[in-house]
Amino acid sequence: MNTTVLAFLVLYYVVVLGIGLWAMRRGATDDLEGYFLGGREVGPLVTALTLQSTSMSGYMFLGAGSLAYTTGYWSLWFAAGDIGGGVLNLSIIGRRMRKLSQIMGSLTSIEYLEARYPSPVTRLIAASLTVFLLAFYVLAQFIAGGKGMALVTGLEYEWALLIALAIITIYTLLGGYLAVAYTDLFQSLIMLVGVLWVLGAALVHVGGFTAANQTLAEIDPTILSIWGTGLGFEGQWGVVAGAVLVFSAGYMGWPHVVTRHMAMKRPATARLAGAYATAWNLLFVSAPYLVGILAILILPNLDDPELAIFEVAQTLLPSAVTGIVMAAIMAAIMSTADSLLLQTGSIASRDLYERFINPRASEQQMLWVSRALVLAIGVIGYLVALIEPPAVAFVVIFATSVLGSAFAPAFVCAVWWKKANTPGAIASMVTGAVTSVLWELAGLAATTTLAPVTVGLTASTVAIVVVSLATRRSSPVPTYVLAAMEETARVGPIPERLIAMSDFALEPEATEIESLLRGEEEQ
Amino acid sequence: MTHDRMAIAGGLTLAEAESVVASTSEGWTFRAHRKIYYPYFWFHLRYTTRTLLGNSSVRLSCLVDTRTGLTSTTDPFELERVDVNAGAVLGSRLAEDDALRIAHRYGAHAVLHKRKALVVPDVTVLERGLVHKPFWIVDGRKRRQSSFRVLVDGVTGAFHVLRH
Repeated sequence: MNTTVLAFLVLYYVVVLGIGLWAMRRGATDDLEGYFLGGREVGPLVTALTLQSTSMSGYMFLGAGSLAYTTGYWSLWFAAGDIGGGVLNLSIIGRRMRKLSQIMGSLTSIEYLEARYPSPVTRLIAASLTVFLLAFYVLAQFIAGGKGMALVTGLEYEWALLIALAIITIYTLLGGYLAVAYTDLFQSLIMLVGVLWVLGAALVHVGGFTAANQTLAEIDPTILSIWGTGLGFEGQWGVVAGAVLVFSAGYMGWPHVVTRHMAMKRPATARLAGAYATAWNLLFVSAPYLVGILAILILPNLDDPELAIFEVAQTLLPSAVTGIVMAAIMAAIMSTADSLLLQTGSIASRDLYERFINPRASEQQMLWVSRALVLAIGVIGYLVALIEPPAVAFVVIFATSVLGSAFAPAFVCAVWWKKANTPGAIASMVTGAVTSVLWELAGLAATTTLAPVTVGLTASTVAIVVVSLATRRSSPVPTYVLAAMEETARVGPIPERLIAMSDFALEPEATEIESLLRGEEEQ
Repeated sequence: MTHDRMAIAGGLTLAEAESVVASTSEGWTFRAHRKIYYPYFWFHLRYTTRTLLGNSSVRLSCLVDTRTGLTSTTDPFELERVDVNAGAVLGSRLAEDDALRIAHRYGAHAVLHKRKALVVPDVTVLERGLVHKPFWIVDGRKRRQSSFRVLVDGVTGAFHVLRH
């Protein structure tokens, strides 16, 4: 056990705790409306950074490094999709979804899907898929936390996993995580500083990019190839498309990511926050992959490639800095894990238990459902991570592929295609999820050279188009949904800047006042 | 006929409402010609959640739209009594108890997700009432081009284009 590393890790948590405590004490005496209003109080910069810190999980520090260590520069296809994903997400569904969800009065993404595609089946399928896949995604965070804890403390993986899992589960159950915008901001800055520090040290160690690439070429020139080590993916554009799509289009299917579009104060905030998020992504996203590639030179005989970034930090950096890097890694893991557990628990209690099993459930009963689920995920997660832990990269890519395949076409068509109806959306969700899961389980990616997300997205897009058109007479889109969509898309002969600065939160009042004015004119 | 109503104070004047919109649209002229009062149920709530470091209290102001039931959080504001014409006030469609239930749920959702706490917060109603927010109707016009109408929030200055 490296006591200096451990001391800095503890120091980090003391600072985070201190910021949280300060914010909480402030909250006890002042009103915190600004905090709840998100972007308005803290501005688009902090909004963007807080979003990034919760969306970047343990995958970035374990999965990304491992992919790069084993496949070389090919892994940067994933980074390319990740960097562009935010902008793609915001520009395709961001503004319109923000307006449409406001008009329909939806609070969560599952409610929004049910409002746009009215049917209890929509909610049942969307909520069930989300609960299962988010729970699966949390598993990756448990494994990442266990491995990180083992390395820092020197404990056996079994014990380190148990400790990491217990910490994450207990503070989620007790509601003790002091999550305020400024702790998220601090975490995001630590993550950025930590990963860039490791990258800088690695680059200095290998003599810069040019020298590193020359040495890599001497070891194996295919490490530098866009087709992966040993040219394993040569000509497989379907797999490449999948690698790019996973973290770009795939993100559009993440229910807890799209919820953020609904929370934006106004489209102008979304635009600026999107720009800041992209700048952060440009700095952050490729760094773990590059460290993974450089680790081939620095630590050529790693037993566990998932620990590439940890090991490079321990090898090259002073203990104090390694402590900061470790803190960054644990911050990424824990801020994602507790968000996912909370999201999973609330979907299971509200969207499944209250909606379908016990509509008269009290808040207390729903809380117990949430807690039981979190506990079950913890126990099952521990057993899976102990008996046969899957690779962090595999879990994250698999969960994102299935979520993207199931939901992205439904979310995109919800705002862009008026003919998309309820049977079409249900068919799309089921087809996307089933296709991508079967493709993965049957190992068809290797034989067909098409990644599960490529096939899943194509299948679910075809399903929503074909089924919506085939059932448009028997299941027409309700007129109130069509009216809301028209309002969402409306741009008249009005100054562009005025529209850009309009506050769509005023939509309900505008609709009511319009009907008053219309009524007066008709009299 | 006029009515005595509680309204959110500190509103924009007619000239301010016009200039808010005009600042975004060079070459257009704007004329504010009518003020309409929109009804909300206002609840000032206190949510208490248990954390590892003891109880954490957060106060939250909610406005529930009495016509659509949509809810939002709001900054603190002051109230004033105003006399308004009957035609300048929209009526409510929502009962106060229903509005309180909506506000409870909305506030609890906001608190739990921001606090990341899997707990049921205790809610205390600190203040409540029916309040009205002023909105200005502003017409925009440019030579030989069709005109349009903008709704300006008389308190915050936020605006939204009207279809009508």
